[in-house]
Amino acid sequence: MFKLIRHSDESVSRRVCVVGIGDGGSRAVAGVLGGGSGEGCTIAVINVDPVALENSKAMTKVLIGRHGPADGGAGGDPAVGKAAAERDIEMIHGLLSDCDVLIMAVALGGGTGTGAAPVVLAAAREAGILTLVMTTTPFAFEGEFRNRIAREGLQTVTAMADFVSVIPNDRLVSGVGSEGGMAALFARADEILAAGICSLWQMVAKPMLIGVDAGGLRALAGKGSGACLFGFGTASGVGRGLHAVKALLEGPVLEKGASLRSCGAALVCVAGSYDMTLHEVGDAFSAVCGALPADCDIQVGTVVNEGWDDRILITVYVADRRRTVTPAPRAGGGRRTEPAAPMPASGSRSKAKTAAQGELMFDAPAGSRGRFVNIPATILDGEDLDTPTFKRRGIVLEK
Amino acid sequence: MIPVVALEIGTSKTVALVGEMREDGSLMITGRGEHPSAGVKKGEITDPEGAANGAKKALMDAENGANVDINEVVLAITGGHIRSSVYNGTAPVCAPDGTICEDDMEEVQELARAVSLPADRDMIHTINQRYSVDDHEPVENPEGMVGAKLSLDILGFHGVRSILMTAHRTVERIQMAVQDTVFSGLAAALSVLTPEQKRSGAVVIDLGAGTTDYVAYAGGVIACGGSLAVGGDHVTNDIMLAFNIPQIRAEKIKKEHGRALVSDHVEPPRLSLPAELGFPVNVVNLRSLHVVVHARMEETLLKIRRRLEEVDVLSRLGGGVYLTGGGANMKDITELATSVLGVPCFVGRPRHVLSLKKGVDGPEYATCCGLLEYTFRTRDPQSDEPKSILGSLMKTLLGRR
Ligand SMILES: Nc1nc2c(ncn2[C@@H]2O[C@H](COP(=O)(O)OP(=O)(O)OP(=O)(O)O)[C@@H](O)[C@H]2O)c(=O)[nH]1
Ligand SMILES: Nc1ncnc2c1ncn2[C@@H]1O[C@H](COP(=O)(O)OP(=O)(O)OP(=O)(O)O)[C@@H](O)[C@H]1O
Ligand SMILES: [Mg+2]
Ligand SMILES: [Mg+2]
Repeated sequence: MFKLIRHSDESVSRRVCVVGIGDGGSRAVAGVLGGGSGEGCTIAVINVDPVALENSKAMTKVLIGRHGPADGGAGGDPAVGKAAAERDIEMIHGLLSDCDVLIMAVALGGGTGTGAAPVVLAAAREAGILTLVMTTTPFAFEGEFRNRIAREGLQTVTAMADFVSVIPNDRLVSGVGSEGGMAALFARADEILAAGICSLWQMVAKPMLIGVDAGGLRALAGKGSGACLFGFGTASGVGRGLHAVKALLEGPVLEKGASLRSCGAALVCVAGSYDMTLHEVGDAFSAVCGALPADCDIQVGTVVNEGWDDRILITVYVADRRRTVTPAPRAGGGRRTEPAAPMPASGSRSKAKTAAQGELMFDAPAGSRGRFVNIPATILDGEDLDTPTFKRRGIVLEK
Repeated sequence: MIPVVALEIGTSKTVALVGEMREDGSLMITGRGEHPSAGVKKGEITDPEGAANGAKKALMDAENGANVDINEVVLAITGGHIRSSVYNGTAPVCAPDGTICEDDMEEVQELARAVSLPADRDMIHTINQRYSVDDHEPVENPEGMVGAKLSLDILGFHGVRSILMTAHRTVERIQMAVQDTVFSGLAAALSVLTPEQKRSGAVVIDLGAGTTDYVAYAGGVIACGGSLAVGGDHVTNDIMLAFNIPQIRAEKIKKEHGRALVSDHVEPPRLSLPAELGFPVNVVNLRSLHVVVHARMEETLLKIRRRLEEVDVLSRLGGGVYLTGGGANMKDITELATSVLGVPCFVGRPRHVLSLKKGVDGPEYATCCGLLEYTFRTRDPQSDEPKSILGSLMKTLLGRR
């Protein structure tokens, strides 16, 4: 068996800021810390509640709404959360000042998260930062009031962010025994959000072995097209690849695989420790792709996580269909010089390389696969061989 | 001998051949049908109905030509899911004095074959490699030797069950039974290599439309084999995207003007594709075309080289490398392969086939002719029944006969 070889340019690393907003979002972010990943990125929480902030293990804590009406809690009113964030917008600018990608976690339905998230997203967009959002919507038993707030919040967020994934909390009920009660349910939600953050972070921060990029994320869910659903499975030890697939397919969030069977587009990411083999990746992809409809528009990606030991994490994002994306021009006086690049580059040292890579990745996201759409990609030694060789090698053709 | 019907549902074409084996060992092709494939991508059937239609037409033509009634076929199987692995069986020798007998050999063979594959895979072939007695140098036939323990390495070809099943179902759709399935690469090798080449070490690489299959003989055994889900379709796709031309045009200029090597001066430098119904005028820089084709073919051959290097085959080839499949018709391909693999490469053609119609000896028919070869070699000439264990198939496969 052979190992995956990294072919991407190591020097292209993107500065990622992971931000949890409100109580639910903050707890989810804490899970990323606990999971042993998150090295190399800023992990921050934003809240109006100083006690919650104090208890958080995040590196950076931003208290908003101090001395205002939101002091200590938004009381479930998004208008209050929004006002608090706007009041302290300078602190949010400061938090975002040094990052290329924002990954935001927010549990919709409350006041702080639902109200402040759009403010943070607007600030990020203005700065030309790529915005990826993981959200939950409330349990039905939390009542119609919270659910309505969440629905409206989700609409606002999907219109603004580059990518939005949603986990309907109600789907978690079937996954946990009743003995755990509310606390267990929320803990499960935290865990899933954390896995989602983790996979997004890896997809954007690490050089991908196999090609999913920001364009692919955008095409699946964001800027006006609905949010996508998300599921994951993780395992270690013998047969970990297929066990992870099993966990994914039997998990409650994708309704034991039913959400896969009915989707129109999907993004499958396999992340693994350094000892992950191609066969494992191939088997995992084919097992997951096998659960998707034949005409599903599938994107796949693979990342090796040097920090992990014996682990495979498979994440799947599913949407009704995939859009063709034109790179959205960034608003305002963005800091960056290459507006069409799919992914803001980090630092100037790698600018030229990144721009070239960006061009390669973004050049017709659907078109570059030509006739090989709708069939599992040919992935060998960590490369997607369906993409023309001359393109991957960066060969410029004479006219 | 009863005629055999071979069927390859390839990515680009579906071929059916009816053949008989003559006394002198040559294959007489009595019927032949060919139809463009539909519903096959990268060697795997994605639309059974479409694939079955093509197979039905090809079989009907073959049936009419040979004037036989076909109800059973030998089917070629390919796809990137196919892999080979070496398995070992080891057991103490039975006889108290340590003399090895046929029972011992059968026992270790059974042990070696009793492998547990991943739950989603099925074995396609198991082929003996070598025996060894008490960990000494491997031998072909240990019968009569003396030792405490006997072991045998076998090479197993296996594939994903659901994909294999789909191929079976496709054939069953048209009311045909599947007599046997054979890995395409192995069939191609059987068809083009001489016993001498098998013994001295040789590789066959089948450059198909959807897959690139390979089988390597080294050290007197089949050392490895497999399939990469990359092929001529990828070359065509690269051309399509490089020059922004439709697939049909890309396929056509690939065949007519494609080259696996790039030279500095190409005459004429540009090719102008006239406007046709539905197609605008396209101008293609021929040198760029060669660059695109070269990049893809070189990459594919490099991938094969890596696979061969894993079992250290390339240093042990006395017989050279033979290219089959439609891709072997590409200009300069043997030169490119020779430089990438560092061993002499040739176009491989089906050996000793006789046909009333021309063309069955082209490299693209190696797989299908090999299916016939395989089936006749596994049959007992007296009873026409498949031969028993340790039969001559092994010998034929390994070039020992
Ligand atoms: N993942 C997760 N979700 C939670 C948790 N607690 C509550 N939620 C969900 O998150 C939604 C919003 O609640 P919070 O995150 O507490 O709200 P907030 O943003 O802090 O806003 P306020 O409490 O109004 O200041 C609720 O409707 C629940 O569905 C938790 O511990 N983890
Ligand atoms: N002269 C040529 N130059 C380049 N390529 C060629 C030429 N002739 C045929 N081909 C290519 O060979 C391929 C067809 O080969 P072949 O008939 O062996 O494939 P197949 O058996 O249908 O597919 P597979 O075995 O992969 O399932 C096509 O991609 C075709 O474009
Ligand atoms: Mg709260
Ligand atoms: Mg073929």
